[in-house]
Amino acid sequence: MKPAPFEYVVPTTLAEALDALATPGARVIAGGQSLLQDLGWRRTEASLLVDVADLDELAGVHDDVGSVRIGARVRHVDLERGAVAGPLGALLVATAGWIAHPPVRSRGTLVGSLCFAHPASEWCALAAGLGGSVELASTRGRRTVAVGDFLYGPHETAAAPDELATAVVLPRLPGGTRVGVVESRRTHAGYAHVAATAAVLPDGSARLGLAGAAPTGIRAHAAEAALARGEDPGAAAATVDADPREHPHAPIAYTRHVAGVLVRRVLARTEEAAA
Amino acid sequence: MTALDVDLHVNGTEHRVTVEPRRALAVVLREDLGLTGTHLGCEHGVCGTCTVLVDGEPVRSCLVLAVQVRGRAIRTVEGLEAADGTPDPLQTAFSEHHALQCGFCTPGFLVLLRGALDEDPTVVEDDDRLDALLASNLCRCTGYEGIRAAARAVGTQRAREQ
Repeated sequence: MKPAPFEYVVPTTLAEALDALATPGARVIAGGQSLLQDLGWRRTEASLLVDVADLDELAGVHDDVGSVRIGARVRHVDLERGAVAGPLGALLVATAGWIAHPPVRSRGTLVGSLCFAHPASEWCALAAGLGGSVELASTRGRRTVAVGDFLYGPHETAAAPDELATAVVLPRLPGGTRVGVVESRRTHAGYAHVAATAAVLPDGSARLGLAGAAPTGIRAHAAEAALARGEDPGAAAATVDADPREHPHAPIAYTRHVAGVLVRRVLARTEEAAA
Repeated sequence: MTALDVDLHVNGTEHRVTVEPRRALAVVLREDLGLTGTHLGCEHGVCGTCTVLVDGEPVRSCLVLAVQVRGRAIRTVEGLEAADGTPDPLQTAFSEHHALQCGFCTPGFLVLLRGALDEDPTVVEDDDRLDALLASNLCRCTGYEGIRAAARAVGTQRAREQ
């Protein structure tokens, strides 16, 4: 038994959950695949874990007109099995396969990954790259924050300690959109060094996400703009979008280079989703 | 902290345990229920030797709190054999294909494969899919070739039966 002691509650309504989260030191637990690891290592602390497992409001995928709302209880494996239809679903399937391993994907959640905000998180890259947003709720009210504003830095987000991320909203991708995800990693068992996600819309414009290239997952705006001008998006990603930090196995210049290569590679490898 | 009463449904048997919330499922299985077939290796979700099935899906029982799986169907390596004691076909195949040496990782691999084959036995027909699955768990002595062979033997037979 490695974590320090904490209390534990399983609220059945959102109101109860938000009341519990107003307790100082309270933390949300969904899949717990990162939180329990960090509590075990005592890299983080909690006086109370608020388990969202019984909150119906957080379950499932909801289609809206121009967007798809993915609840905070939706696990990696649900997305891997095709919980979302169309090109967006195909991109989620392709990305989910890069997340950890099946026994972790059966517990961990997409929204949980966004809240954990690991710099190499594929989900953070995808959600930032698509220009998604995170829905937050607390006893003080509700708000929606763009993923680009939600992700502050490594393991830092815009969520206040008493706020619960209830869902992520991603834009629906039109039919004919080509999608892809590529990674560079040192070993199969490790995290991504750099990952790139792409959605190329039928009009030729692209939405590009990068993981590992900056302190958070980012949208590669400069690479998208370069592509639209007919210039090399890889060069723009490497020199403008990437903002890497020194890494034990990768100097800054190398990570920039990899970001550029992966942007070119993912654009070359995008595939159209099966209808 | 407050210890909680939790009903754990393990290998078809109901157990009422009183646990501190911070205790991992793997620890409660081993220390409170005496089910020491579930091993603890790294205790932070990397090695996979603590793999158990929760509602049929493989999970790392070191990264799941016992209080999180109240009322869910938990299956451990002790629950693989048939009621009459006949070993699971995977257990027989592991023996036949020399898929273990020291045996420490074996319970995790057996449970991982049981969950995967029950969900989709065709996973063994594609080398990439099988490798991606087996990469979930670490074997540090005999290597993965025997484990692959055992998985293929059972999966192919299973697919033929369906």
